[in-house]
Amino acid sequence: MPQQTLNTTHLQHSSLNTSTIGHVVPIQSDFQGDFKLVLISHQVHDDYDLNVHGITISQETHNPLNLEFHQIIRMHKIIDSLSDIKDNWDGEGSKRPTNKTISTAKILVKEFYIHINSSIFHWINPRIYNEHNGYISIEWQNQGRQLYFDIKDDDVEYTKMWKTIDEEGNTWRDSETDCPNMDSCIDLWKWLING
Amino acid sequence: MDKNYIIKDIDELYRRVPINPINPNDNVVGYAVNASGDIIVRSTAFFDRTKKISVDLAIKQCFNPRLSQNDPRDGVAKLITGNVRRIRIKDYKIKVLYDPIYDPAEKNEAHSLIVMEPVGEKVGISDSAFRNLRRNLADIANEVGWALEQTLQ
Repeated sequence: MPQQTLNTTHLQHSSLNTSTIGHVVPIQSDFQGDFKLVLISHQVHDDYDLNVHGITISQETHNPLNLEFHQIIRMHKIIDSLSDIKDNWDGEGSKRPTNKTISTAKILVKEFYIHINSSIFHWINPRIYNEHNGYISIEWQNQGRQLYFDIKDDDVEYTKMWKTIDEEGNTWRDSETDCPNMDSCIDLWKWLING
Repeated sequence: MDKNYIIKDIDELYRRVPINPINPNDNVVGYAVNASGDIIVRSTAFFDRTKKISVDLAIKQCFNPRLSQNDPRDGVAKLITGNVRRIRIKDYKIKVLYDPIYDPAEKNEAHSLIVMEPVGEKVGISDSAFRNLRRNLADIANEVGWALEQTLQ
């Protein structure tokens, strides 16, 4: 079985903490977007360095940490599947998503998921799909509000879309597009959930 | 119909959502099956490199959506003009224009266009703004319901 050592940098980028010692938990073994489920055997240093023996699939699906990473793995699988798309998939000359786009999308969903999941808000599974011109889009809908992340290579932008009804009963559709950062993602999510 | 016809807010518009001829169950082109099993229109159904979206004016083809099909398995999405005109995207005005084609090779007297007109100092149409328009159109189409639902095999 391969052996890996995690350091504090890994800990900062995962949901791992000392309470997970002795449990089967999933961790991110590198920062290119691939997650692996690992068995943590023991803690060797007080500064949270860990010795990790082997890679295994946990059966402890009741463990909230495992559920968390199952969600991430599920989203990563969908994103990975978009790399199978051929160029000109739309008959309009659109390219398939680049490896960089795939990688950025995977990091984004992971970071966003962990951020939301550690807040008071509940998670909603997104739709993840390819868009024209090599984009990957991640979409959430809730009560008439829609939130999108559009990713191409290193670039990410979000769009909020919502509807209002005027006095005559006509529906107006509005949108707002900007570049996201993790500090504002809770505000975006709060808007999606609560309006 | 007068070629100068001004499309009314109540006018219905049809947009062909083509079947994928290679794999009819492939949902990458213009539609998807949602969690409830319903076939929904995707924003990709409204993509056009020219950023002008061709639609057919329903009244001009006697409200027969089959006239908008190329393949009998194609779906036809329906839009209401007023809903389209009430899409607000920063720096753009959304217009629906009657644009009949009289060229015998591709004659279509129902042909119309949904276009984005930059306002103020804005020049050109960004990918992002066009994507927003397409998403809003898909939302309208799904709210209104298919004129002719796509046939999945």
